[in-house]
Parts: sequence; structure tokens; C-alpha cells
Amino acid sequence: MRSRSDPFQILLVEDESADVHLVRQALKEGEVDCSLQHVVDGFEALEFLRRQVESERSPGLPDLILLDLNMPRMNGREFLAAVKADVRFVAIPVVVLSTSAVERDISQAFQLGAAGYITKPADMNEFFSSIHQLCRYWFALARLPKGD
Amino acid sequence: MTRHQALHRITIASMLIWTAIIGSILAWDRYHAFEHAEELARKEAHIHFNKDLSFRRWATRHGGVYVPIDARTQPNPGLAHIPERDIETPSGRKLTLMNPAYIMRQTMTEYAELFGVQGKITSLKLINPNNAPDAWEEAALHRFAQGVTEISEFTEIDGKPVLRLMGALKTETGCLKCHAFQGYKVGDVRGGIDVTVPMHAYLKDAKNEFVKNVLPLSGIWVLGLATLAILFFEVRNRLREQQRAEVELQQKNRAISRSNADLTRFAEVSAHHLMEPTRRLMSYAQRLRTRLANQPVLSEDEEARLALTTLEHDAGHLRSLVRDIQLYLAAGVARGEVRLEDANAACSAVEKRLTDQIKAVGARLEIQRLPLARLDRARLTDLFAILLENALHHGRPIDPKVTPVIRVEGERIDATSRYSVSDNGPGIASEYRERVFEIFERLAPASIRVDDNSGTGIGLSIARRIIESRHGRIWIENLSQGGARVVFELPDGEIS
Repeated sequence: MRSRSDPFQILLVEDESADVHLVRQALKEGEVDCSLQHVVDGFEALEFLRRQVESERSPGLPDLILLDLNMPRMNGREFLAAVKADVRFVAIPVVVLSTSAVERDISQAFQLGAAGYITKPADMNEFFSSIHQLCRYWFALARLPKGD
Repeated sequence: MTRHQALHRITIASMLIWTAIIGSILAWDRYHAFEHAEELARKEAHIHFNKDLSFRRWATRHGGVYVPIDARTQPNPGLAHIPERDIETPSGRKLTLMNPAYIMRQTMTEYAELFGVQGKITSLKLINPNNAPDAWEEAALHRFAQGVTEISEFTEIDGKPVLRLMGALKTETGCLKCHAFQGYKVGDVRGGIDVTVPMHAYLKDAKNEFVKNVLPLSGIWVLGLATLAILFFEVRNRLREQQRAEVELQQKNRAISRSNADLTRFAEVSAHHLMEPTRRLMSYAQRLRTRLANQPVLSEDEEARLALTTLEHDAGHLRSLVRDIQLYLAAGVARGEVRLEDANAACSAVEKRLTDQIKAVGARLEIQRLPLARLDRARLTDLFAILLENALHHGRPIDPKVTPVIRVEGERIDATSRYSVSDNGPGIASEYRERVFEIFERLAPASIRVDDNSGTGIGLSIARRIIESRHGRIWIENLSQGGARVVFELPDGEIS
């Protein structure tokens, strides 16, 4: 069981290792106090979440999910729909982190229940800043009760 | 009802109507021919009647006529009461008095034998029982007593068609010589003259006259039916061809739509998948520059610096291209409800957004009253943004001392709103006026103004895609006083 002083848990669902690296760097350089878990697709992410609720020793569900849209096996949209359909996971805020700036993708993500949508900027500083801002916002305002 | 069914019905109805017309003409013709025959028969009957009447009157006026007695002409027993019924000439010839009825019976018998027309003088009060009326005559005589003066009827006698005409015979002074004993006075209806005209010859003529017309009319009827049949087959073939063509067109349209949808989807996916590595390329190039900033390798190695700069530049260019493809693809789809939008409001919004650029160029923007545009608000704004930016970048006067003036005008033409954005720049050579709308088409700097901000050259392509998605059109004209004018039209209605 985690206490309020535990570091924030972030689950990054991303198949591209280069982007995983960038997110890690962003969190590190932004000195965001968090623990980052990484899985490569929606399928693994769902497995991860299930393990977290079923295992006694696990640190519990993540405080925030950062989700890529284009992934093999189960893509971001399918994962988002599955998470929002499961009463155990529905409260976890999911922020989409995608290269696509196509309006259809954005509106679809929100319709599926995304808490936010960030277009991955090409500029490194902008990217780092986005991740930093995002985490600070969610960790300050949206920390979830973990239950008993 | 299908078009084929309608054609069948129309053809059958036309044939029936045509048959009815020809049938009516034939019926009218037949009626007319027989009516004419009857008219002629009636005239003949009148002639005979008048002849009989005048002949009878002549005989009456002479108080009868003495004729030699022979086997055929015996003394009339009905005149036994007349003194001097039979006389003898000084030479000894025996003569007997023939009264008019007697004379007429004889002459009419001869006439009938010779010409077929029968005449008879008859009465309800007879002197000679040979003159007794038949049933038809008796009925007629009764009607004469009621004041009718003439009765005629087309009927049959012994199975042969005849016209019977009977006229009333009034008592005259001469009649009284023989008939006074019956109680008649002058003016009384004493009997009637019955004329029977055989109709056979008349009817034959009428029939011949009618038959004479049947053949040509039948020919016309058949010709009409044949024409209708030919028309039917011709129209049916055309309908079939038209349907075949429509089906082919639908198939082609479906194929084109499918192909277009596939292409769009392919382009969307490609653009999206290109964007990811492009972005990473940029991010990592930047990261590399940051990491190497303080390393001697970059500051000292010219080749390394050039490689990194090229990497950054090309990654940036690639990103612009991919982004423009995405924008171009998105331009074909409405972003909101397509309705009549206030073009002035859209234009003013763009003017506000471009305030800095307008100031930087020192341009003057003149926006006239614009008609409403049938388009979604988002793309209408994009459209004016593209055209105003285009004018700001490429429509600057050659003489830098001249103020760039951009004029936006609009008018209604039928069910279409037409807008134009004009500048007072150098204009565009005619060979480039189409090419500027092609995707990624950039004009050669030598001939046309192109500056560093001209991007990938997608703006006008996007504008055209927006307008053509609403079945409108866009083109460029050069103004006589110098400068270029981009004109576009947006029709009101949906065009399928």
C-alpha cells in the first residue's frame, strides 16, 4: 500500500524507444519527482494495470498514463476505450502524447475519455517543457485517492 | 413505375388513341355516307309524291278520264253510282270513267314494274277495296287525322330495305264528284299517297363510298401504328443505352470515390507516419547540437558543423512538407456546419490575426461589403487567410515607395458568391496562373517574386481544394492597371 509521500507513478505507453528516451530525459531534466513505468503497447499496458490491482506487493495503479496513439497489437484508441470501460481504471487520467495534430484524432481522443492531448513538438525545449508542465499540473491537482 | 413501364404504357395509350381517332373518322364517314343516301332517297320519294299528287290533281280536275274498256281496264264497280260511268262514242267504242285512284293504281303498278318505286293512294274509307291500307299506312292515316301532314320511315319490306314516305291527301272540289257520298267536305283529310323507294341502290352506293375511304384510312392507321412501334423501339433502345451509360457512370463514380478515399487515407497515414520520424529527427538533431555545443568537435570540425546544420535544415523542411500535406488533405473536409457565413466577419478576423504582418509590410487593406458564403466558418477563415497572406507576400509593388494595397471585393452572380483579392504588385505571368494552384508548385524566383517566407507553396493549392470541395472555382487574373487578382466563386447549392 502506498502512502501520499510516495513518488508519483507514471505509466508511459509508447512503442518507440527514442521517444521513451526523450520522455525520460524530459522528466529528469525537469526534476519531476516521479517513477516512470514503460510498456510498448496497449495490450501490455492493460496487463500492467491488471497486475497492479491484483498483486498485493505492487505499488498500486499509476497516477497518470501518458499514451501514444500509434502502436502495434493494441493501439492507443483501443487501450483508451478499454481503460474507460473498466470501472477499476476509469479514474486514472490518460493524457495522449502523439505526433498527430489532425483534428479528427484529437476530438476522437477526447470522445474516448482522454484527460488531455499533447502534440509532441519537434522542438526539444518545447517538448521538455510540455512534459514538465503536464506532470506538475496533474501531480498538483489530480492526485488520486488510492483506497485501502 | 420504371421508365420502361412508363414507355410501354405511353405507347399502348398512344396506339389506342390513334385507333380511336381513325375509328371515329371511319364511323363519321360511314354515318355521313348513309345519311347522304337517305337524303337522296327522301328527295326521290318527295319527287314521286309530288308527281303522284299533281297527276292525281290533274285527273281530279278533269273529273276522271274516260278510257276504252279492255281486259285490264274494266268499269270500276265503286263508281256504279256515277251517271254516265260507261259511255259509247259515236263510232261505237265503249269507254268507262276512271277516277284518280283507279288511274293512279294502274300507273303506279306500271311505274313500279319499270322503276321499282311503288306508289299507292289509300284511305280509311275505301271505294275500291284493292286500295286498302296495310298496317303501316293505316297507322299513318290515323296520324294524318290528328293533323300530321307527312310521315316517313326507313324499314324493310319482304326483307328488303326501303324508304316509305306518306303524305296526307286533302279533299278538293274535284274529289267530291266521286266521294261526296262518303260525307267528305273540301279540306278534309281524305287519305294519303304512299311512296316506297327501294334503298338497295342507295345503300350500295353509300357502302361503296364508305369502303372507298376505308382502305386509305386503314393504311394511315397501320402507318401510324408502325410509326408508334418504331418510336417505341427507338426510345426503348435509347433508354437501355441511357441506363447502361448511367450504370457505367455510377460504377465509374463509385470506383473514383473509392480510389479517392483510398488515396486520401493512404496520404493521411503516410503523412502521419512520416511526421513521427521527422519530429524525432528534429528533436535528436537539436539534442545533438545542445550536447555538442561546448565540445571542441563542433567548433573545430567544419564538416561536423555542416552535417548537423544540413540535418537540422532538411528535418525542418521535411516537417513543413508533411505538415502541408496534412493541411492540404484536411482542406477537403468541412470543419463544422456548412451554412451561409458572413464573409466580412471571416475577413475581419483574418485582418486582426495578420495585423503584425500588415504593419511590417506597410500595406493598406480595403475590404468592401461581401456577400454571404456557403462554407464552414473555419475553412472560410482559412481561405481568406491564405489569399491575404499570399497578397502580402507576393503582391508588393515593384517600387518600394508605393504603398501595397490589398482590396477584397465580392458580388452575387446568380446563385453564386464571387470574391476577389487584388493587389498592386507585379502581377503573374500567364504561364504561371494555373501552376500556382498545383501542390508544392513554387514559381521560379527569376520570373516571379518569391521570398524566404513562401513556404512549400501549398497555400493556393489548399485554397483550391477548399473551393473545389464546394464545387466552386478559383483563378488568377492580371489587372490592367497592374497587380494580380485572385477570384473565387462559391455556389449556394449542393451539387451532387
